[in-house]
Amino acid sequence: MKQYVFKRILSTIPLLLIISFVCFVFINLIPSNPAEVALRVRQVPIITEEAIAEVEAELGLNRPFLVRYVSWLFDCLKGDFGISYVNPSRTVAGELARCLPATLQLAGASLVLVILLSIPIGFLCAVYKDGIFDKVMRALVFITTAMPPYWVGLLLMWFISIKLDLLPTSGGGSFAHLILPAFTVSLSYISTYIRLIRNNMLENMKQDYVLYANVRGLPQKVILIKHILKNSMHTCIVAIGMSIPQLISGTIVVENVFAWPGLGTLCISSIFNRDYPIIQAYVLLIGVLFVVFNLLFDILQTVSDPRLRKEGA
Amino acid sequence: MKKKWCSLLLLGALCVSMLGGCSGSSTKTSTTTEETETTETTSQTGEAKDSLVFVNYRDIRDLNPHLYAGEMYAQEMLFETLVNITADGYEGCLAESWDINEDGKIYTFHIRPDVYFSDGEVCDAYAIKANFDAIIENKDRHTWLEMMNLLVGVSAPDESTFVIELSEPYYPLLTELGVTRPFAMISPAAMKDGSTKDGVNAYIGTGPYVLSEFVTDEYAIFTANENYWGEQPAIKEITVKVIPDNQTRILALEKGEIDFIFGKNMIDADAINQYMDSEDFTVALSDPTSTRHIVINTTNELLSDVKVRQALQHATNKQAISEGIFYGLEEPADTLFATTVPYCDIDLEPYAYDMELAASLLAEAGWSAGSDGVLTKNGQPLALELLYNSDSVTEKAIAEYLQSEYAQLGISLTIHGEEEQSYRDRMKAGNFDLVFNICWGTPYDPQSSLAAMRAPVYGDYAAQQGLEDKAEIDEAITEILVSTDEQKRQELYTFVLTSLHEDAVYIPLTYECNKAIYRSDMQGFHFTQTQYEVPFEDFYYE
Amino acid sequence: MAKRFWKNKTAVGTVFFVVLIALLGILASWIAPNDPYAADILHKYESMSAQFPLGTDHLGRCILSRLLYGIRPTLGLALLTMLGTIGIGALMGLLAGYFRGWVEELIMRIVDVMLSFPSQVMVFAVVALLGISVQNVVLANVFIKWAWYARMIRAGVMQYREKNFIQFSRCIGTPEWFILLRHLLPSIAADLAVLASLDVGWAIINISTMSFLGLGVQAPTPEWGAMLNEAKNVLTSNPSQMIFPGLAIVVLVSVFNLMGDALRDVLDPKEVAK
Repeated sequence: MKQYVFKRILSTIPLLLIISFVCFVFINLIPSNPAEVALRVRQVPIITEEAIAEVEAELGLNRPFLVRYVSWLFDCLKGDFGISYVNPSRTVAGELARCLPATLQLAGASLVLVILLSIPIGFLCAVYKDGIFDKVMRALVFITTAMPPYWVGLLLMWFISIKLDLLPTSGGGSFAHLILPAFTVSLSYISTYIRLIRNNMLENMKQDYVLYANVRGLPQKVILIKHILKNSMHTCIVAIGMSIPQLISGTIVVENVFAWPGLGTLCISSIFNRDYPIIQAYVLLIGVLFVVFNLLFDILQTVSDPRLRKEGA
Repeated sequence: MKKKWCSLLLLGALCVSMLGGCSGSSTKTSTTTEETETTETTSQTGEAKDSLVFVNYRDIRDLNPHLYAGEMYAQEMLFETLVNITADGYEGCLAESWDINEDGKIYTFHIRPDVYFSDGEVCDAYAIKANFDAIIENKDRHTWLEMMNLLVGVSAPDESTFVIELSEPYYPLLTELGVTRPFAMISPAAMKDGSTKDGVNAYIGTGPYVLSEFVTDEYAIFTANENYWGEQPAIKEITVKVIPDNQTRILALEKGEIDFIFGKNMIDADAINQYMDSEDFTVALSDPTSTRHIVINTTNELLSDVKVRQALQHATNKQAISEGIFYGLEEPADTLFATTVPYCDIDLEPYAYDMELAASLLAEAGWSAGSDGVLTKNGQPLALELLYNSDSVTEKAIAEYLQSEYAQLGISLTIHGEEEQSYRDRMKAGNFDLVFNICWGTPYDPQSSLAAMRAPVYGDYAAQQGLEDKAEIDEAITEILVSTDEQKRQELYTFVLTSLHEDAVYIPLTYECNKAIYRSDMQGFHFTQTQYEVPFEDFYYE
Repeated sequence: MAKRFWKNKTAVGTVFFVVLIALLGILASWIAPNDPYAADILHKYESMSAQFPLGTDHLGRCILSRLLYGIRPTLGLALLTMLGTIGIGALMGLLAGYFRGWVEELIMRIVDVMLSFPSQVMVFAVVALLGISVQNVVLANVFIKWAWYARMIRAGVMQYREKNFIQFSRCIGTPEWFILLRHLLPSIAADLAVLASLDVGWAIINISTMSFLGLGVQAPTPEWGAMLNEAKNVLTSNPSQMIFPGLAIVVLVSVFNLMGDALRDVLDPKEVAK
């Protein structure tokens, strides 16, 4: 068991290295010259070729590619991602640190909504399969999968905030600001998980242990909740856990619709402004988060599921 | 079964919101809005309001008064200069009065006594000298101010006297000293070893407000400076929220989250129209401050041909832009500087909107229709990029309009928006074909704007590099700044402005004005001579 | 199979609808009431009229005409993305599933790395690197999505490669390419068709999202996502601007999703029997 976990952790190291290497190559492929940027930072009025060459030597930009990669990697490990090209007075790490909490807040709220809404709805859909509730929910799920999140965001913003004047339209800050974006982000995940839970429960209902429980004469409620739901929850929680990084990266569009001051807004404006160091750090951060969450839930699943535990050992 | 009820409730909420999204307005909606409005007004009448929420599209950034990276309205709140520029000349600020010697080369300022920085440091002639030393240390950064080139030295013979000596008499000196930056005074204690070019330790000035709190990209709070030498402002606390999006700003105003929007590009004409007849909000429009125009980069191979530039001038329907996009709030502009700007009332023939003439100019220049409707010459298509500032509320619409207009002539125009900072960086680096720009406006026009064309301060320098008469123009500008003879000065201005007009480097669009929308119970609002300054200290509530 | 197709009303209906939409797009220049690019700035935000059946936008252009012309980039680019994704995915999946050994190892490792990045972020990274344009959005979408299909198709191939008819084919010395193209490809064609139609819906949403953010189709080209981007700017003053392009997307994507499900029923008789 321990051996498996250890092996699993070790196996992510090459993956992390590849991710970091891709990110490093990324910044080296772009046309802008870091030396020139550095000169602009120092507010040098006229930038000459000689000045650029001088700064290149000073910043070690003339060293071999791999040497630069290694030193960059160590800088990253120390939390130094360089400075923003557009606002040279800000560090990339500072910008990420400033925007990360808002994004985590949004992703967290969406996750809570996903769990709160999809599990009961999925459960009820499975229990009353082909009933009116199931049919209505399935229709809604079908439509919401076809709705682009940004359009949902616009509709909600217009109806809830402008027409009804119930919630603030956009921006960050209070809890009220969080509701609409969180709901918008969670909507597409909710429909996925409703379907997942419903189908999973229907699968489980056909299992032998359910038959056995019925034979034993257990009340229907107990079977549904204690056995079937519990078993389905297990799969779902793992699936939802695995999708946390997806959720974090999925906020990018919705953040832009609602001007939520998080990483997504930062990332898109950096793309427009060609602020490459920020994009690089963002991709690196999300990539690492993705790998780490996958690892975590993979291990968690192995630890919690006796069948898999055996295989792993 | 508790769970079931919970989920049903949530489900209900979901259904309501989903269905609600599709249906139109209902009677219930209007009552809700009314209710919230009435509760708001009652809560407001109870207390005497002395705070204000202002809005800006971006962060205050680095407010170092000797550099150019900070928001000007905030610098105006914190820092003061020797003199203020008013509608009818200059008035004393940190200097109570001043004398100019006979040959116009020595200015002696009598410093206002008992003025203190908000950290308790005294603001006497020595402190002012320290500020000038810090500014002069970074001289290269301020070459757009001609006085920097003419400066012989500054001195503070005693605590209440400050002297500036120039090598030549220079008529716009007081204007340059009075503009927001760089000649604003920061506490010497906030400097880093007497220097400010690499940043400052704190934003400590003598102005009516102090910066008490800020969160990057979210808000900044200014509170009244208790030790202010002048009259205490009625508004004690000003919160500036950062809201980059135009729609959001207007909604925030509507909902009472902010009290006041101000700026040339902060409110679109549709919104202004919407509030024109509103009782809750007052709309104010200033006199034209500057000219909204497009700069043509003459170093671009296609645009180096004056005929192409003239064709673009004739293909631009300013009247339609003025009426269609601004609902007439901004008048169409014919020349780079309005005739009301000093020295600019000269006889220039405007480029009239005339598509046929534009087409024939392009034909003369050797362009002929290609297969896909785009003009070509020697196999090269007439494809240009127009760069706009995506923080501006109207530039994108104008860009899209011009795109469709120019397409009729066979010019393929791609449009590209970038945020203020990178847009400016690109403009400065000359990295554009066509770019939106504004004149600097009062009090910089025309002397400072023209002076700046001689150095890579702004887009103009790069854009004009392809002009044959660039050297002549620069020489004339330099001469203007040091000439003492009024008539000679006018002749030189006429020469420069005529050359630039005939070279067709600038496509004037409209005369833009400052726009403000504020709660109707707010009083004392007015526009100032410095277009970026917001006169917070004059505001009060009814 | 054709018979089953004609019997399935949903399948017939959705395919018919998609063809109709495609025809509307192709024939837009004849059908559209106005020039979608003709700006008349003095008549912006006009309401519905005989001349402008759905009104005009912020530059006074005909919304209906722009919607019709918008079919071309919206549907066309999504189809292109789908073909690219499925093409590369199927090729890689077939190769990996059939050849096993180092080929499989190499392809699947690449697939693993690709899947270890969140796809949404990768699209943005690719667009940031290559520049803002619609070609790059299509490229980015193909680039990030092929790995999914490679993995699914490999799994499909694995199912079949041990089947008797393939074993037999190999025994009698049929060339490998023949087995791949004539035996394996038709066998997984059903899976491919279903994936493809679901993928188009996904691609429409994704590409329109990029255009909505201003990173995809650029002005003045009419694309539904880009139209919504313009509508967003007038959300308070002219909210009706966002209705039609949004509805158009939802309808088209729903139809493709329905089509995917219907095709699955048509192509997989076992499922229906269940």
